[in-house]
Amino acid sequence: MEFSSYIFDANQRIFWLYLLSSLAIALVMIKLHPKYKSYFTKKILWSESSILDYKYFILNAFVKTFLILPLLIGANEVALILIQFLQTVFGYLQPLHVAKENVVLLYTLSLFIIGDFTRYWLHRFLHTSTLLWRFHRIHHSAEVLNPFTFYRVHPVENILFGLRHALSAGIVSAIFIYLFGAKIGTIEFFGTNIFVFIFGLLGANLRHSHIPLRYGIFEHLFISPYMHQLHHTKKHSHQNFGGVLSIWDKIFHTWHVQTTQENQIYGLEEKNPHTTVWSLFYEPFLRKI
Amino acid sequence: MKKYLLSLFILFLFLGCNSDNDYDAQNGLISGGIKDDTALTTLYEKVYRTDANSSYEAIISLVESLKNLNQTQNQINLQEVQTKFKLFVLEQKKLEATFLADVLNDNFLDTLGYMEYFHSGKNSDLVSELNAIFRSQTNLAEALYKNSNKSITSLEYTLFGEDENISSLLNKMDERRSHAGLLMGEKIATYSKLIKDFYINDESFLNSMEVSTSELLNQLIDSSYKLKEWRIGEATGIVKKYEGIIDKKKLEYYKSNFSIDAIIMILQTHLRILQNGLKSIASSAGATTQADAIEQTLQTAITLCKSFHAPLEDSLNDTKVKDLYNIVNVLQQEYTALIASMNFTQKIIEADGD
Ligand SMILES: [Zn+2]
Repeated sequence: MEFSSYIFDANQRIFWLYLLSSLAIALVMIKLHPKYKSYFTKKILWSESSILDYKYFILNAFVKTFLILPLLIGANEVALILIQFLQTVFGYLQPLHVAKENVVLLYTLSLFIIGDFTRYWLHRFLHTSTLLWRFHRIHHSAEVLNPFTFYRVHPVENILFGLRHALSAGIVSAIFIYLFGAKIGTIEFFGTNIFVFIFGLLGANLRHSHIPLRYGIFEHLFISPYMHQLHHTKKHSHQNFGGVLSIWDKIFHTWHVQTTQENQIYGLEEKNPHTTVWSLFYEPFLRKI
Repeated sequence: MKKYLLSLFILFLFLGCNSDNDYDAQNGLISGGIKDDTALTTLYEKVYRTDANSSYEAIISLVESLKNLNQTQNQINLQEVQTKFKLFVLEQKKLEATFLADVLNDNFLDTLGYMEYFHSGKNSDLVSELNAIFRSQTNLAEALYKNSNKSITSLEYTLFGEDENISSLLNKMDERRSHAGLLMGEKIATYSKLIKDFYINDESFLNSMEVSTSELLNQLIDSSYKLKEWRIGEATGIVKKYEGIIDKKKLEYYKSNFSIDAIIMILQTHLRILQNGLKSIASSAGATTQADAIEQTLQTAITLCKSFHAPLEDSLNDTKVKDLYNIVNVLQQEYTALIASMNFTQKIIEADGD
């Protein structure tokens, strides 16, 4: 269990470069609007809610590494099963003569778009299903947002997101391998999908922060950190389910923006049931409907 | 605030330069994690160039024997030609198993199809066409105008009939037929020279590790599929299309009884590809287990092929044939697994929500 892997892996939200770029953006914003300085103080970063996030991050990292990762089916396995299925049903297909560069571009884009689409729907189900909401609620019980709130996710939700990844990446890969054989590959930067990388650089860590970074007109296409902050408010938690793209929220009528408001209140409607790090783990199982 | 930004900027620069080590400007844009550059050079040298050379040498030697046969039409020369034909055909199978010239250069798109006529039309038509040509009195070079009539498949018929014995063949081996054989051999040699010159002079295979490895893997999968379906499944009635119908004329070399040797040669070429570079490429991309599995399967398949006591043409009822079909099927799946594993270099769970 190496925590450094979180910092040095560009697949992680808290990759040093993403943290740094978010920090840089935050500092520029504070420079432009000095009042934002109050969003970035010890009071917030060392609040009870934040400390809970940090503790939970460490404990759940063990759960993920030792309990979830070894048991969860991977995208690779899903892909292999599906390729066999495709070959049985549709027969063997001689790999198409297409330049590898084009396949790589298309595959990278497909992985990203399908991945983002499935994220939207799983997130939406986590809110609409009463059973799933029990588990997703622990993410929303954070009353203060900081980059580590991203990891305040119940193991059950981790499993669901992991399965979602295995299925979506597995299906996309199977189709591409069936059609193009070994010509698949992803455009990567620091070992991660280039789109994930760009998203990370554009202040992804500010989604869980109080700095209201907005994307202006691009909010019709992308979820800005402020839009995700709105999702964490009591009033708009049934909107802006999107990860990177906001087009899913647009298409499925959950898109919401408004003029930037200061001092928004985050957390649950009800009294926060999560006061200890252990309660984050067991509370969803004990709770009466 | 200025101090903050300045130090941040410097930190950016510093960290940016420092951890560049896992980003390689050339390969970094395309994943796979393949890092072993020398493997590709070794592979090209030890397999492609070597095989192209020996295939060309084999056809030249065959043409020499065809010249002798053309003069004597005697038994010694016919038997020598038959032996040389086998040697050449086996060399040609090596080339075909991993053929990439068509991917590297459009001029070679149809070359293999011109050289050999297996599974690209009706063999029976070819036999009757050739019989008509051998019987007629017209100009021989003009009569052999079709590519298929100058192919390895046609040469095989010219030299072996449809698995005829030597005395019956000698009766038919008149000047016209032996001359036709020579013309076919010479035509095949021109293609063989083109391929050899291409592999010797062209370096595009070495340009991009990523692209060449993908093309090579695709070719290996394709080769396994054709081996399984065309060279085993169809003649034995295992494939759906010909279910239950055993027909040795669907085998690749039913005229000369070389089918099993051709299969062994193809499998051995796969093995050589693996051992002369692909395995190391696969390992550098984190797929050692999958490459080992392929090696194991290839060895099992080769051992099984060698255990046939009679030519494949006479063993189509043997249960071993079905076993061989199944093993090659596993091989094809293992290649797919290799591709998938080389693509997913690490297990990412993306388990976090939003
Ligand atoms: Zn939510």
